[in-house]
Amino acid sequence: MIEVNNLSYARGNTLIYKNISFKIRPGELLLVQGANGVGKTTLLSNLVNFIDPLEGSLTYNNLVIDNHIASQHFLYVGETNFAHDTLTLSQNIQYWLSIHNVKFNNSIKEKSIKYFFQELNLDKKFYQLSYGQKKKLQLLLLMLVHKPVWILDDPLSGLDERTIINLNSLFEKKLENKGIIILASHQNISLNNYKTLQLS
Amino acid sequence: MIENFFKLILSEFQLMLKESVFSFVLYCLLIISCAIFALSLKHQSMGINAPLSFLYIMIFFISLFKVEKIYSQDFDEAKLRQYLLSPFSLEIIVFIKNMMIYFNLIIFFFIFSPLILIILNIDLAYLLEINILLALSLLSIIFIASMTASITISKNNRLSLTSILTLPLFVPILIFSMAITDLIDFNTGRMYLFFVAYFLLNLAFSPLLTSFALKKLSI
Amino acid sequence: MFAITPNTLSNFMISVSRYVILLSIALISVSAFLIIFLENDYYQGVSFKIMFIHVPTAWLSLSIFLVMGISSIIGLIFKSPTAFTVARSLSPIGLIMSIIVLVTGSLWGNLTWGAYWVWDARLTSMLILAFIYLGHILLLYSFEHFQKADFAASILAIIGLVNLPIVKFSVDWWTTLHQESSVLRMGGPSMTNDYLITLFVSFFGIFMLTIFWFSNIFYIIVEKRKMERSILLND
Repeated sequence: MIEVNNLSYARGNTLIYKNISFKIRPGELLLVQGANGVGKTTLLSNLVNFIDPLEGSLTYNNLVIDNHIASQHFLYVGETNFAHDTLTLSQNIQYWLSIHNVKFNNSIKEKSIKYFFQELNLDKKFYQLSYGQKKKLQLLLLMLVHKPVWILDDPLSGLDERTIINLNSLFEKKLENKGIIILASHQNISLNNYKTLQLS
Repeated sequence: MIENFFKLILSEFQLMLKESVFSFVLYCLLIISCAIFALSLKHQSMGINAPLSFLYIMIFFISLFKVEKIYSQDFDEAKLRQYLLSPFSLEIIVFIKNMMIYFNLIIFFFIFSPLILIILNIDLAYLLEINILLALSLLSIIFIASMTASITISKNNRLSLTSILTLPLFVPILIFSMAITDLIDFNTGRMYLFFVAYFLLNLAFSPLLTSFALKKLSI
Repeated sequence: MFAITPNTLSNFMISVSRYVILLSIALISVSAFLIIFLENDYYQGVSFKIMFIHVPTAWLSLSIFLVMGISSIIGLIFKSPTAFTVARSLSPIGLIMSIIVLVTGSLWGNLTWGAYWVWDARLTSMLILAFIYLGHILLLYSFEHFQKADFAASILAIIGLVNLPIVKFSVDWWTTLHQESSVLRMGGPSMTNDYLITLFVSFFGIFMLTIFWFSNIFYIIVEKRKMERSILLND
């Protein structure tokens, strides 16, 4: 369970948000919404302890979230791309799986690559891919890295219909397995019940 | 974990090979500037000191450029967020990256060094000594450069001039290598110990401080 | 010990600062009196008396950097805002001290060596120290967020600590034009007692002045931060 109490954050001398509180239990999804520049990305970074809050407390299962807790339980997928441009797609997959210390299992790996990339040549250089294809590499981590909490920053932008449907079924499966998803997005998602947090 | 660690090193090695085009360009620039230096001073009879210190300063700037480029490329915000959530601590990743930059630069130097010495009119009998001197001092230079790069690539930094302001920090190592070029005729192996000691000091502090600066400043 | 908040330290410093400035004025006037009535040096004449400004400021500029480096290390390890604020308020003092050292040194050098500047180990490394102070200050003000600025500047201070032993011992390691240490050295000082007493009186006068200055800067920084924070949270 993630618990946030009276969270405030200031960048320099400007206050980004003030007194945010919420609770998420296992098996729930939180959709963070708001206009551009209200601090959605900042709130997610705060949750993963990339930045220190000005005031307030963050806990996961009654433990204060620090670097160690965050790296054990949280998976973060941001809006900008993290892959190395000069490596090929398969080299990139290899690289980020070893960074996340994923046990290497060929069959699962191939299945999930097929799930997202269908029939794409994996030996293409990364900079030759389109925006949506690059985005899929980030989402591939969701299938291969097993962590209880997903924190996703705008995962739906630039994806085609089919991938969005695939992603939604992935979310459903995660929630059934008592995972937690925190999601910042401008679009609505086609799930039945989820909480929303409106930033202003 | 161990298996993935070796895979990580392998991937970093691949990445380094892809990036070595940039080092090649830098070394070509080095050779051109050495040629200009030798050409403009062809009427003076130079000892070993002037060309050697020129070479040393050029290598120093090359490694600075290289480290800054690699760091701004490989530690941008999106990659850093993934590194921070990985089970490998950022210190280890920084260390691997530094060593890869080091190998890249030093292998190119081993290849080019006879050519450079011929251009600069240095006796080829000094080849081995100069290579050892460079190989030892480049380690410390790269580890210090990584610290300053981690401060300067931060997006929160409004002054980009700070990379010049951190240059004085390299002065100790430059002073000592100049002292060695004075002594190189006498073949004193004892002075090399300084570089090893200085490197061990850097090895203890540099990855720690670099990763700390990246964590705190770049996000 | 590291649980001291910036607030308590600033209150303490500002409460003692009025006695410190009185002491400093007394010591400096005593040392001025002593300097005027001291005999001229046999070789150097009156110019020798620059020493009583040059040497204390040189000691202070080195020791201020040492304190800055140590407090940066403490700040990084214990995440203590007090230590960071100490380092932040010391660096302008250190910069001015090192500039005074360079200016008085070059005046003295012109009178005795016949040149304002020579490129030898100690002068160069002192100049580098001044540049590191300058870099520290610029780094502090190049970040919008004061905490980020503190982290960046503390890393610079820690790397710069390497420069300190080189400045201190450069005179002993290399044969340079600058004279060797005559007070802090093996086998006791090489000066006569009246010079030594004058030197120490002027040193403590300038030292007290530094502490007064430091406590004022510290107080201003802490008060400004308190005000900014209350404005932020009450908006």
